[in-house]
Order: sequence, then C-alpha cells, then structure tokens
Amino acid sequence: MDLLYGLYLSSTSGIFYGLVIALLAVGMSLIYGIMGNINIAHGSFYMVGAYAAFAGSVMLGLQSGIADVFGIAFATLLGMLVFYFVIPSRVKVAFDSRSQNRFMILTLGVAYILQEVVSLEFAGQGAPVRELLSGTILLPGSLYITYQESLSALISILTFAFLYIFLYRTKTGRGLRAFSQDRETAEAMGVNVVRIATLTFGIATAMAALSGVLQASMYSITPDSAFNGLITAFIIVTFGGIGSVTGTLIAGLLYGVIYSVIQFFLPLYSFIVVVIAIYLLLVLRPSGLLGKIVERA
Amino acid sequence: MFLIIPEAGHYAMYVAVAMIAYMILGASWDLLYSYTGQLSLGQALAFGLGGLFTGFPLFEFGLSPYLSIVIGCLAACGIQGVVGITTIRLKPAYQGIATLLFAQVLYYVMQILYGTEGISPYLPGFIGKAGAVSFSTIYYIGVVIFIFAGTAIFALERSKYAVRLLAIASDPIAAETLGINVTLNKLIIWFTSSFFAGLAGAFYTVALLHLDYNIFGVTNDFLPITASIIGGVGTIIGPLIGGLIVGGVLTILPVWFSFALTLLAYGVILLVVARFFPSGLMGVTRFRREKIDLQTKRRE
Repeated sequence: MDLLYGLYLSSTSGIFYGLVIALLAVGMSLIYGIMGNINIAHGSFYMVGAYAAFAGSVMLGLQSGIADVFGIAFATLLGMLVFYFVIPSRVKVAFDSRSQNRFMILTLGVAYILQEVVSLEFAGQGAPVRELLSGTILLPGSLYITYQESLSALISILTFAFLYIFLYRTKTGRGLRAFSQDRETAEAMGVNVVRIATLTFGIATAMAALSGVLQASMYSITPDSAFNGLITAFIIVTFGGIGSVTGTLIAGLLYGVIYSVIQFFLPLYSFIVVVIAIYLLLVLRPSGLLGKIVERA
Repeated sequence: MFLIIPEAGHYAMYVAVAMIAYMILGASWDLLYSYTGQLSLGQALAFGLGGLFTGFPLFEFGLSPYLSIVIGCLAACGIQGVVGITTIRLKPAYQGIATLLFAQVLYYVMQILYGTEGISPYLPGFIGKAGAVSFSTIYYIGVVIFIFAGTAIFALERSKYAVRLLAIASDPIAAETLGINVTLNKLIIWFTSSFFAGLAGAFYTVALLHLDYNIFGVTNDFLPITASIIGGVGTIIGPLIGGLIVGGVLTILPVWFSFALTLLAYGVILLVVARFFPSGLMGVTRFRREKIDLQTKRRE
C-alpha cells in the first residue's frame, strides 16, 4: 500500500536525519547543561560549517573529504574567536540571569552577522556540499539508501560514542560532568571554570559544524537554516533532557522520524506542527520531562 | 520641528514612520527587559500580530483604521501575553528562546498563507471604506500615537510602581519576600510590553499599507534589542533614541547600500555597543557628565 510504503520511506530517512541533527542538538544540550547559557549563534555555526565546506571545495579546490574537515575546522575556529573576543570574561562564567541574557544578546548579534555575511557572500544560494560517497544501497522493501546517508549515520554514531567516552572515561570529561552537577564543589576540587566554559563551547560548536556539513551533503543548507537549526536543536534538547548525551541522541532520532513522517503527510506545515507540539509539551508538563529548565516547579 | 516633516515630502515621512514604529517597539522591549528582567527574543511576534490583526480588518474588510489599530493592539497584547503566561515558569534562557520560537512559527505560517505578496488594500492609497487618506494624515496620527505611547511608558517607568518592578528585575527572590507578587507583576508588564509592540506594528502596517511575512522575521526580533542597547538599556529615553537611530538607518542606508548590508551593519553595531558600551549612548553621556561633576559613578 502506498501509505505504508510512504511511512516506511519517511521513517527510515527520518532516522538518518535524526542522527545528524542530534549532533547539533547535543551541542546545545552541553552548553545549556554545563554553563546554563543558550548560544543563539549555535545554528549559525551549523550553517557556516556547511558553507565553509562548500567554499573549501569550490574556492580552494579541496577534495571532498578535506573540504568537509576544513569546513568544520573553520566554523569551530570562528566560534572560538567569537567566544574569546565577543563575550566578556565575566559573562562567560557567570550563572545569574543578567549575564545569561547578555550572553544571548551578544550571540544574537553574532548569529545575525553570520547570517547576513553568508547571504551576501553566497548570494543567498544554498550550500551544495559534494558528497563523499555516491551510489545507493537497496534495502528490503524496495528502499534505497544512499551511501552518503549511511556514512553520515556512521560518523554521527561514532561521534556520539567518542563524546560519551570523553565525558565518562576521561579526567577532563569527568570534570565537565562534575561541574554541571555541583559547581562550587567542582571548583573547590580544582576544576577551572574558564577552561570548562571554553571547552564546552568548542565541543558544541564543532559538533554543530559537523552536523551542518553532513546535513548539507545529504539535504540542503541555506542561510535560513541557522535559525531553523537553532529551533530544532532547542526542541530536541527540550524533549531529550538537558546535559544528557544519550537522551539527546534518542530524542534526536525520535524527532527525525516524527518530523519526516509528518512531512510526508503535511509537507508545508511540518515545522509548525512540531513547534506547536513542543509548546504544548512545555505548557502541560514543564517539570516532568524537563527538569532543569523550570525555575519553580 | 516635527510639524515641518510633511513638508519635506513622502520619503521624509516614511523615515519618520519607521522611526516612530521602532522607537515604540524598542521601548516596549526595554520595558520588559530592564524593568522585569525578562528577555524577549520574539518581540516580532507582538509587532507582527499588531500588524496582522490591524491589516486584516483594514485591508480585507475595510474596517476603520482606528478600530483596526485597536483590534491589532489587543490581539498582540492578548496572544503574546498568553505566550508569556505559559513561558513564565521557564528559566530565563529558555523563555527567551521560546518567544523566538513563536515569532518564527508565525513567520512561516504567514509565508505559507500569503507568500511574498502579503496583504494590501484592494485599491492603492485607499484604506477600505475610509477612502483615500493622505500620507501626512497618517504621519500626524503616528505622532499622536508616539506621544501617547511615549507618555504612557514614561509615566510607567517613572512611577512608584516602577520601583517595585526594578526590585523584581534585580532580585526576584528578595522582592518576593518583601511581599511583591513577582509572577503577577512580570505578567502585567509582559502584557503591557506586548500591547505597545503591537501598537508599533499596527501603526507601521497602516502607514505602509502592506503586510507580509517579513514582519515576523528575525529582523524585528533583533532591531528592538539593538535600539535599546544603542540608546541605553534601562533608561527611559535610551530606547527612544535607539529607535530613532534604528528606524532612520533602516530607511536611509538601503538607498545607497543593499538591505542585507544594512542589517549586517546593525549586527556589527549591536556587538560593538553591547560589548564595549553596555550602557549605550545614554550611559556615555551620563558618564561624561559624572566625570565633570566628580560624583561617584553608578555601576551599570
């Protein structure tokens, strides 16, 4: 039956989309979980990563894979420069709402600049990042999956695995987790706040950039994707739990599948439906699923 | 001085209209931010709703412009107010993004429903059954609206009530122990801020005789923040001066440079000011005055 096939098709492509977008979400989850800030420019680095990879392959003539790495490196470096120069040291490590608001205003400015610069530089066209592998696999049920999708899924899973290992098996990672659980004690134990802040921001931005590059190789990235990505990441993080790597991964997968299925039925309104759904979730069950985002439960 | 502007021609009035709209919008954002500590990254929602609920009755049904503006304001106030109610319990960072979320949703909804054409009156220059209205009349209406909004916000921000609000903004827990109902007051100001943002949007739409999805765009989330920061967050005149600059630059700069470049310039200005001159223009003048007076500097 057509309907069933459509569901099968959309949910499988949703899995791949979900895996890639979960990378973006986990970055935001880390920043918010550990530092309490929301980087409005998070989606912008996602977008810039894609465009930088494109620029790398077209303007610098880099090979496919190397251009991708270049894109990620460029976006991450840019993010670190922003973090170093644009955000005042006080705001970087403060947890009061005033500083967090300032952080958001500053990153809003950055997001805006990045969006406009990319728009101007690339005349508003999307970023066609060349895929690393071409060709498709035939799966049961007459479903085609591109090699690129499989590769992206693999990269995503590996990245999550590395992230998990980093957070749970290395000294630095444990420091990060300790800091997110109990700031004062962690600091008393010798954890350096500035290092934590910088590290978190760097990892998050790198993952965003990676997500952008992978996404561009499979679908399309435009300057609008910056804010779209931001909202998508926000939705996934809300859904999956802040600061939880596995939670974000699962939520990302779920989001990918649900979004793709909705898109199959209501192509135009899918984004709106998802946003409304998450809004209802926020309203009806603010404490249950979400814990750390509510001030007074 | 402002009485002469209609003499200067259509373009001057167009600039003035943008200035008025962004002055009120900026003031509405600052009211919310500096007096209750709530960051709204989605002020475009109320702005756009004001425009939408004014434009629709006005352009499609030919309702009187004055009535349409009232409808627009109330709708903006109500809807964004409800968003405020539902997000009040969220941590500040989350509340900020939730408001952005809504503005974006409406951006896409409007884009789907009306596309790039948007809504316009059936006959150019005619506002429905009200007949042809000259642009200078619109301009004077704008001045009146501005005086109304400006006075209202001024009175609010100078009143004794404002002191209570500032307490909420700086230390909500202490304010709560003093008996101030933090949540209620935050919501009151949220509704008020949405009302004025809606008013700005309503006026802007009536003056421009056009409404499309761009009114909900990130630009209008971003510009009131820029206006308030340039002028001086927390001061009364600051956001107004900022709005003057924002509205002016927005309508003047694109004549020579592209629109995208103008927005880029805004981003840079916001960053530079927010980073190095957090007190904005008003802060600079206050600083210099205090240097001369040798009084103790007030921390920002």
